[in-house]
Amino acid sequence: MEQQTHIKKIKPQKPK
Amino acid sequence: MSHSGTLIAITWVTMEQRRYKDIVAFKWGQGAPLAFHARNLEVAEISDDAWNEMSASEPSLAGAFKALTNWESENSPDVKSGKLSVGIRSLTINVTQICNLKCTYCAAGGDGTYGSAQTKINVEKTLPQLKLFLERIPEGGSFNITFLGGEPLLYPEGIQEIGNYVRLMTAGRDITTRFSIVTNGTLFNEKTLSILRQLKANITVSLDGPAEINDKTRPTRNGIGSTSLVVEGLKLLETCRSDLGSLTLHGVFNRENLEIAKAYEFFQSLNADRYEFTYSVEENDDASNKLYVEQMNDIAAKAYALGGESELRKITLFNQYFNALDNQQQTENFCGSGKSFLVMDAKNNLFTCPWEVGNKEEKVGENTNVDFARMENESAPLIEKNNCQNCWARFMCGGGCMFIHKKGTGSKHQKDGQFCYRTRSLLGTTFIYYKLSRASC
Repeated sequence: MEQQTHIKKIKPQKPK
Repeated sequence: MSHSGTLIAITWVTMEQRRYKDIVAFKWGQGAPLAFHARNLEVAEISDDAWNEMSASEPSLAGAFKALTNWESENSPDVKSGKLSVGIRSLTINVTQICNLKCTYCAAGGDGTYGSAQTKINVEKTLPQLKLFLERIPEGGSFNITFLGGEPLLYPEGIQEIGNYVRLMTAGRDITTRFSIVTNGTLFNEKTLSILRQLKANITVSLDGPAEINDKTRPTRNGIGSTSLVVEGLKLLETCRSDLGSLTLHGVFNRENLEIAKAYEFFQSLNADRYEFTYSVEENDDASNKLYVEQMNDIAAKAYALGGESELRKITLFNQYFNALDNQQQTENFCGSGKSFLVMDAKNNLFTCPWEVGNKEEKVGENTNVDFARMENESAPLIEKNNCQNCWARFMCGGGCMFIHKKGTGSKHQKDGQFCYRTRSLLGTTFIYYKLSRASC
């Protein structure tokens, strides 16, 4: 998907 | 994912920044560009094409521009609002307004008295005041008390009586109570530690670095260095750490002392949970401001090389920012001053801020007479009052410290540029380590 070619979001780590 | 062992040198000279509406992007030298979404609190790696689109006068690479605009227009369902309801949930209490130290940068009258010495707070007057606030806490709520001074451990009995009363008043109710103390660390002994253990208090000890520095900035009233007393006290505290809350070491830095790296190194020998490096609220020297940021970047790199994310997050600022990014939790108020937070001085007057004790303009009550209506009128978010709507850092910062703004510009709602520089710079640093510590989607 072209969106992800240009924007790779960093995945948050859902904390306790 | 651990990246310990990696030493990252951040040279701001080679950092370029670009902006597209609520997206800000950074590029350090030849590294891949990194971007931040101001509303969604998302960090992303972006392509060189997207980076180039951010400075183009008109879109040229349709795919990259579309990706950028799509992201900018998203409103993530995971974002948590930073709206703050009015209601006092945090109270700092000056249990004394005297001190056994005479720190060079003391803002409490230079000697802990705020210009109005008081050996002990009157507990009989204090308990009805506390009752007034406790009765307003809803079920499921929380109430946090921080003991401050002066030096609060000069009146441990007052701490004990207040703590016992709060526990008595909340027994059987669904209210979480939390106690903290800010102390100079010279008065830990069996008696004072026993009281702090009963309250499972979080402890912040003020310390600016090794003796060569701290003895100059934090002498006793007799002019003798206090460092050895603090180190001895911390050794005693170590024997009952499991009965206490967190231990934070807190240093203050200004043009007279910007030895943050030395403080960090010294702190590491003292086995604390957290380190806090506060920049002086009255310092207005631009070179010192930039040096502070450089030093913070330096210790961030050292921390990450030493122990990755967990070591970096011992530095309170980075821990707070990581929490905000992981939770996508917006902050609309840098602090709860006058909304959710008040300070009670040792004469039972109530003020909006620890720095404002004694300032009649910021007084909101005394004894059981409290101007709750005034607090309701203060309910607008600081990011609105301080005109932060166009700043990309607004939901991470919350509008900044009103006292710092007032010192810098003369008005508490007129932002201090040096404060904003520090905040944005260290957020940029945070994004780098956040990317290193998390995977891409």
